Amino acid sequence: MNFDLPFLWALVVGFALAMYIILDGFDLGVGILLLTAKSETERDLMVQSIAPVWDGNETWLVMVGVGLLGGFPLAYGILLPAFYLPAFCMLMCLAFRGVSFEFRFQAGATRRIWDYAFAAGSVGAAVCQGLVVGGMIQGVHVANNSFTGGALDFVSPFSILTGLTLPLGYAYIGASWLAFRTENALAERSRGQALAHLAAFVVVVMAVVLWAGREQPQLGSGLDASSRARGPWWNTGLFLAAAMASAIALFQRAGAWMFVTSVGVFLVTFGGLELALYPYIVPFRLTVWQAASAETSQQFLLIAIALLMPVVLCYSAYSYYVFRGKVRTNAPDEEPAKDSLVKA
Amino acid sequence: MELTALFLSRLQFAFTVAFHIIFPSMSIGLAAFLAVIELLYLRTREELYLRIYRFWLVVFALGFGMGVVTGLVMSFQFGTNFSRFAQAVGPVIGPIIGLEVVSAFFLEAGFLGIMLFGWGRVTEKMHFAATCFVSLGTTVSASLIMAANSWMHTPTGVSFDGHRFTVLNWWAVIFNPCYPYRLLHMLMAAWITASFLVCGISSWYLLRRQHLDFARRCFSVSLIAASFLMPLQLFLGDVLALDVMAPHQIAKIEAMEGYWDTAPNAAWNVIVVPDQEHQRNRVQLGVPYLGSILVGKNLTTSIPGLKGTPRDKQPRMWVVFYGFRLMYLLGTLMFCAAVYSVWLRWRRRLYESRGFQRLMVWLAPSGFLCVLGGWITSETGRQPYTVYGYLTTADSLSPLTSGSVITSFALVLAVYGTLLTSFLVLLRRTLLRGPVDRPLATHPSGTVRRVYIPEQEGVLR
Repeated sequence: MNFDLPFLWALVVGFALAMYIILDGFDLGVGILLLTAKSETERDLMVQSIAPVWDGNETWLVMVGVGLLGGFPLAYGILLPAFYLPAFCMLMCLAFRGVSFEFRFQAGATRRIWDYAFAAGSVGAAVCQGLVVGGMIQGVHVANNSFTGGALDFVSPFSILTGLTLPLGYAYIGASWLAFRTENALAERSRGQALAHLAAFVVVVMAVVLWAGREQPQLGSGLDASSRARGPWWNTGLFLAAAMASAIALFQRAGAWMFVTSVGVFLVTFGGLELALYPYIVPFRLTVWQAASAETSQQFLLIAIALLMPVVLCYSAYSYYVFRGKVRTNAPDEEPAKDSLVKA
Repeated sequence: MELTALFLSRLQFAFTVAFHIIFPSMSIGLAAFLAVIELLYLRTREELYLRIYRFWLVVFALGFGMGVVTGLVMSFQFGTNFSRFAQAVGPVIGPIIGLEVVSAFFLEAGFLGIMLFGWGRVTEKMHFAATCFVSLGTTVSASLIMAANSWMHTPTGVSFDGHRFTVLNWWAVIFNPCYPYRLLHMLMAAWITASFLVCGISSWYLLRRQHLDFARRCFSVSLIAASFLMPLQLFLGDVLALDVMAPHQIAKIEAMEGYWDTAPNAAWNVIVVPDQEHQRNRVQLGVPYLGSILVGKNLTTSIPGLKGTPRDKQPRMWVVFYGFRLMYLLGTLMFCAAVYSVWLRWRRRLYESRGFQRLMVWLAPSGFLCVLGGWITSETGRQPYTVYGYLTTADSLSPLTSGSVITSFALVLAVYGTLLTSFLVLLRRTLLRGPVDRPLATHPSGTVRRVYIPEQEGVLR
């Protein structure tokens, strides 16, 4: 049997990355929106909606990192030094945010501090990821399979724009998650926030798309001439259609659809970016085939993934299923909450 | 010491990895402990076990969170600071760690939510299954990361072309010569760490005469575990060092024992002040003949000296020596405490000896210190290599300026310092609050608050 292993591997890493930006995307978004919560009860509800699942969501990022290490070690060893500072800032932000989940429940009077840490960590991580996206589109300097640029190469007006895009996008998907998972005033406000952030996200993404074409003429160089000419139009059309669908779902208060359509918007955006960079894994220097690990290494893990990933997806879905339904602070049979938000 | 990117990267890596290992050691041990306790609850239906479970679940959750986020940093740090290592070794350890992610990390993460918040949302059996899966996840995770790390100590099953390793035989890579021993040594270390932590905290309650039924049960269970594990661990450590590691990394053994020249009828060095430059000790203090007894089980065996290894292949003696002394001396003390507990139990004075309880309070963090000492010995002892005999640490480094590494290290120190302080403050608060003494309501709720803040629970209906 003859598989194109590097391509399969790229799909695996791409899949993990897509899972990451959707799943950790909405919980980072909830973290960002925590700043806008009106009361302690609201903050509790917001955190509670993601507490049982955040750890699994973040695991997809580990999967991306290790997928690169095992499948494309050359790319892993070029990209991480190239984005050394934003990568470290992101990791430290994620560390702060991760523990503030566990700590806030234990911290009586200092709970507020942990909420701020959680929010700040979420914003910081999102900005750093956005900077890396901008830096990837700009391309990195490489010689002899090693990064040769400077520590601050990634900083530019363009990457600052992409640095703003991700927090907006995460806040949007987080708000639609909250609109779906919470009730009453919090759900209503989240719905409004989702619409506002969607509008801002669409504007910024369009700006990025227009600017990116000028910033980096090599975008889409892996596609044939006709797809290269039509691709951006198709992609933009699809993006706007997905955004429209999401807006309609939000206006209609369409339950789970509010969240599902925002996932659609994310997938289209991500897919567009991947197609523009394809077939490069280190933008415009190394393709997935050039950066690929030895066949024995890629085979080993692909077999493991083929066997285990379906199981992983099943029990991850089960854990979401266990915590289905609207989040509430207190069980119905306990004392009614002081806040009118929660149905007694 | 000049602040080169190499030195700073090594320091940063050592700091982050040492910080990280504390928390998995605790999670592996506590997860196993929690699984046993929940099983006992389901078997006996004794309400006390449920309270024990709830209390240690909170401690577990605090530590697990720390382990996850510091582990995330580790998975990227191979690339950020040691990119040439990553490019060379990625084809070997990448797939092993990848297997760890799909088999262990997702398993832990998928069932952790149910374990922490699912009580009442799922059936008791399902909850027990979730606890077991989390515990299994932590153990599988340790098994695979130990395979990757052990391969770096005794690399087999590969070919190396000067730039990249290619795997010839996966079986030989994973089951490399030192792997089974080091894995077992680490797992037992984690279980022992948790035993001494549980024991230390329950003796603290015993001394304060608080939560007595809770404290006695935890004290007794954890000491049973420690009494079985400590002798095995000492024996295993001896086999690991002298029979398994010595043929592969003699330099580590030489540095551990603190001799430069091969010494017959050797004393067991307790204090040395090595002078690496002149290849001698400035100060050397030891217990006569004990070195030969421990190494060769007789009075005359020679202990090899570090001069037996060429200078450019020598590890720094003082780090390896004191890392090992920390683990060995503290481990011996823990062994004695475990043996003494058996004596006390036999004389039916286990809960009466205040002195013993005081000792156990002091030994609460001993497992962590031993783990750190052991890892310092293991990882500094294989310098100057990252992959023993193939790739040096200097050749593993990323193209970085020291300015970048100073920035990141400062950030790491600030964040980790805050995290550790907060962790300790919250742990202290959890301990001061103690377990709930009244029966718990176990009806369905599934809200976060109820798990974490048990004192707000409703009374049993």
